[in-house]
Amino acid sequence: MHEWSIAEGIVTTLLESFKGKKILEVEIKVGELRDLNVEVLGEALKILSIGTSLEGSKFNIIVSKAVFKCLNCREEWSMKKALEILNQMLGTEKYVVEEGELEPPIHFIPSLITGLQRCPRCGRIDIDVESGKELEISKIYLS
Amino acid sequence: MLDPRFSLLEKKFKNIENIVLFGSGKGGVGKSIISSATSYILSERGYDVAYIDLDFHGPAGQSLFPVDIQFKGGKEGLELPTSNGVRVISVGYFLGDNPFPLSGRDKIDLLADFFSILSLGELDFTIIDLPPGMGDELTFTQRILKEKISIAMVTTNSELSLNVVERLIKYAKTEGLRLLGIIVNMADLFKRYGLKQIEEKLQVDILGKVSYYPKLEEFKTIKDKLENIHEFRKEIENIVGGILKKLNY
Ligand SMILES: Nc1ncnc2c1ncn2[C@@H]1O[C@H](COP(=O)(O)OP(=O)(O)OP(=O)(O)O)[C@@H](O)[C@H]1O
Ligand SMILES: [Mg+2]
Ligand SMILES: [Zn+2]
Repeated sequence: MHEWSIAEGIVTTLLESFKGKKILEVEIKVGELRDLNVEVLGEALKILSIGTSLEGSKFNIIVSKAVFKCLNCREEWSMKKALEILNQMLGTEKYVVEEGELEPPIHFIPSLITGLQRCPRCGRIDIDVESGKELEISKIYLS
Repeated sequence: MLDPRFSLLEKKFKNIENIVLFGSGKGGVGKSIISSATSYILSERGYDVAYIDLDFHGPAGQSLFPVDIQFKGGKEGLELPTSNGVRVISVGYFLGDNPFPLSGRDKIDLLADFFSILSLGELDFTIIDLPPGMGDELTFTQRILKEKISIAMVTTNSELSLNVVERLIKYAKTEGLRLLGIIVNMADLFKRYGLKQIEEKLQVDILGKVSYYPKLEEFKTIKDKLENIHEFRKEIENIVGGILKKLNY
């Protein structure tokens, strides 16, 4: 559901940044951490474009896998592992209700996960998200 | 590269005016106590108020404004639950007692996420509780909310705290950040200067003072602190009066 609000942000940004230009194609990078449904996002973009200069533009959504990395021992781990670590730290009582379903708070505030990871190998707290947090309009093709 | 969060954020804050930041040069001078108390009193007077805790590493919102219902997300984002009449948000509600480290880049990312996901509705006043100093929390907020914000600075009556707040005042003046005035906390404790002297020394208005109340520690929520310590409440009401006047209410 918050795909719609993100889509709105994308459409508004494009319309404001490229006033009076015809955009043929847009590439949007979405990190796995953003927890967005790509189909819903694509659909929302299409519908919100109707009646604007974006109508008929192609939206190319690219999802990047999340990679977490320990700055101390260089261990790397995936989204699945990261969610396990998060659940170990928080439990599920901090979950948020959305349309009757329980979602971890990172569904709303993805960046929270960065501070709530501990290296599965050495236990260190200073970790980096190498990729997976992206939410950006990365390429534009004008006619 | 364009970040769509900024247009969301702009839209969310479009109809929101009267955003007051509570900042300080030094830590532990009473920003959280005074900003939460201000929020509480404003809401008691019938205004719609939000208290936004931007202190990600040392959040206080979850203790001062306890929330025992489940958080909800809706079409407009994460809804701010109401605690004792005030709509509140803090990362503290989600972190448990875990330490929460963040690098500078990650903090800016969190700020963008945080502001763009809030479902604010209609508000008369938005009170923002800052961490100490002039970090990303202050500069980011200023960058995105621009002339909508003003700042109240909290200091103790100690040489050290006054010196540091002087720096922040200079920052506000050169950066065009609207300065409502300063609040002298624990005014009777260090008693370095009289209030008039401080006003002259720093060249800013004093919004009010708060005395030192050892009993403040005995109560956890801001409601209990205010309802059990009468003198404290009176001083906060005074400060609220000062803020309202500055904002032409
Ligand atoms: N006037 C006062 N009398 C007695 N205790 C006070 C007073 N003001 C604040 N305190 C206590 O001092 C401590 C620090 O206050 P508070 O958390 O509001 O400061 P802060 O500026 O928000 O700190 P930080 O910089 O860590 O965010 C708290 O334990 C608070 O209860
Ligand atoms: Mg504080
Ligand atoms: Zn490690």
